Amino acid sequence: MGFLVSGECLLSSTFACSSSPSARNAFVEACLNNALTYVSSVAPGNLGPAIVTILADTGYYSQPTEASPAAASVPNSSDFIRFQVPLKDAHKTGLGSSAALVTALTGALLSYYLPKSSYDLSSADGKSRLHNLAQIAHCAAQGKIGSGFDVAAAVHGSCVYTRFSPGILEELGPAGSPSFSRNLRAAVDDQTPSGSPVNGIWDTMILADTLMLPKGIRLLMCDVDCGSETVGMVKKVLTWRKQRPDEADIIWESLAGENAKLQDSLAALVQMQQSEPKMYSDGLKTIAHDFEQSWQHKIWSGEYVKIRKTIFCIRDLLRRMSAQAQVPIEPPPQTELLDACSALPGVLGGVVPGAGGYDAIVLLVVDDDEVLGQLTDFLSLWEGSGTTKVRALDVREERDGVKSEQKDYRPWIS
Amino acid sequence: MHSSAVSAPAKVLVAGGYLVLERQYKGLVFALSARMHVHIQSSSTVDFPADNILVRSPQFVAAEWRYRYQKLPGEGGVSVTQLDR
Repeated sequence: MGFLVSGECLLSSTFACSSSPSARNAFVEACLNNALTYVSSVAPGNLGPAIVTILADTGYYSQPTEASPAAASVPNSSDFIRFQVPLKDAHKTGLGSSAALVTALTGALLSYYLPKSSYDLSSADGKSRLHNLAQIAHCAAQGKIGSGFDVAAAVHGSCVYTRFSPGILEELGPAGSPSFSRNLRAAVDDQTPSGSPVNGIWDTMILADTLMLPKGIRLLMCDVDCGSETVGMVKKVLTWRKQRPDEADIIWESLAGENAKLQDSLAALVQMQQSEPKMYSDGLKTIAHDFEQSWQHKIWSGEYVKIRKTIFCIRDLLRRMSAQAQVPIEPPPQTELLDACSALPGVLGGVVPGAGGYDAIVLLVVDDDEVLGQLTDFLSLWEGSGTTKVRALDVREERDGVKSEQKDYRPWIS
Repeated sequence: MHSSAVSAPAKVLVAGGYLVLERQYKGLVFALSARMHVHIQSSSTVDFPADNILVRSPQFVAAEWRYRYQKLPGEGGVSVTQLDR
């Protein structure tokens, strides 16, 4: 039995479970070690026994097909589905978030063991401390220091993210080392107000409430075939970048430029939707019903056209990266699928998100039932080269990061 | 019974993959409506050991981990040990 750690993970690796029920769970252990150490430093008398229940929304895992064993939904609990199978058999969706688990578990532990007077998850201070502690726990569980964008999003919601310098965690030392508790406390309490760089150790920048979609446009994720070997891909790309810095810099700088354009276009659409709602919604209607060639002529607001072009540029750059680094970031089957979806009415464009590969693609679409219906029909008939079936996932973008819940979780909690 | 519940969202990095690993570049990351929920409560049974924490994932079969926590000497902090079933 050993650890199963994961970077971009899938549901089964989120829970780090193998066939043996007593296999270790790296994420749960890292959360417990770090959060309990912090609680003990702040309020030593507060530790005590507890029962922790983890539940994942339906968006995380695939819907059962007719062929597979049915997942029985439990009466009175519409959000969670019971699977009559061990974790290792849960079909993976490629969404997975070890960062969401670490953030929710760390947040729950802090909220449970500390009184509101010393810890409030809904406050800026509460989020800052949770962010720091969750980043530390997540890195500990993975055995490496990632960029941290996933923990930032789990805490603060949709955001523009600049990573923290990996070196800031070097002073910490491993859990259990002689001054671990003091170092952890200092690192966690170091204030990182969202949106501003600080003079403390956390030199990250998290601009929440800056990245948003205008009403009427949504994200749609489409699951293809999971199991991209992200860790291997990232390694290969970084190796190539080190070996060919001039080549890589050209692509990196171009991508940074296009990404900034994308951010600006989204902001411009949000602004347009608020200040010129009729122009905005006329544009949406045109896109939703006409094919690309005609809507490019009809739309007198350039923002929609700009976004579409920017997305195509980003994809072109990712394919160049793929070719030069020899890593399948946007491989041909995904190119086929993205091109086909982008030609449908109501689809502004789409990309392979994150490290790319064969994980779920993300599309930017007009939030309209007819558009979504046509898209899902199209996907159900899709037979691209070498891929399995394609399925729209029941998820969409969300503004909110971590939050306290007042839900009734019965009968899931014993 | 004292209890707490917290949820956090999954995410999708729409722009900035690979770039976001370096501080001079930004990533555009959206939170998603698929959320992980964690609920914590005290034990209702009298024989639940005072230094135990039970973690369970009831949507799945046999997904349960029981731990004993202990305070380490000096400033080592708190460490958990998994108790085999």
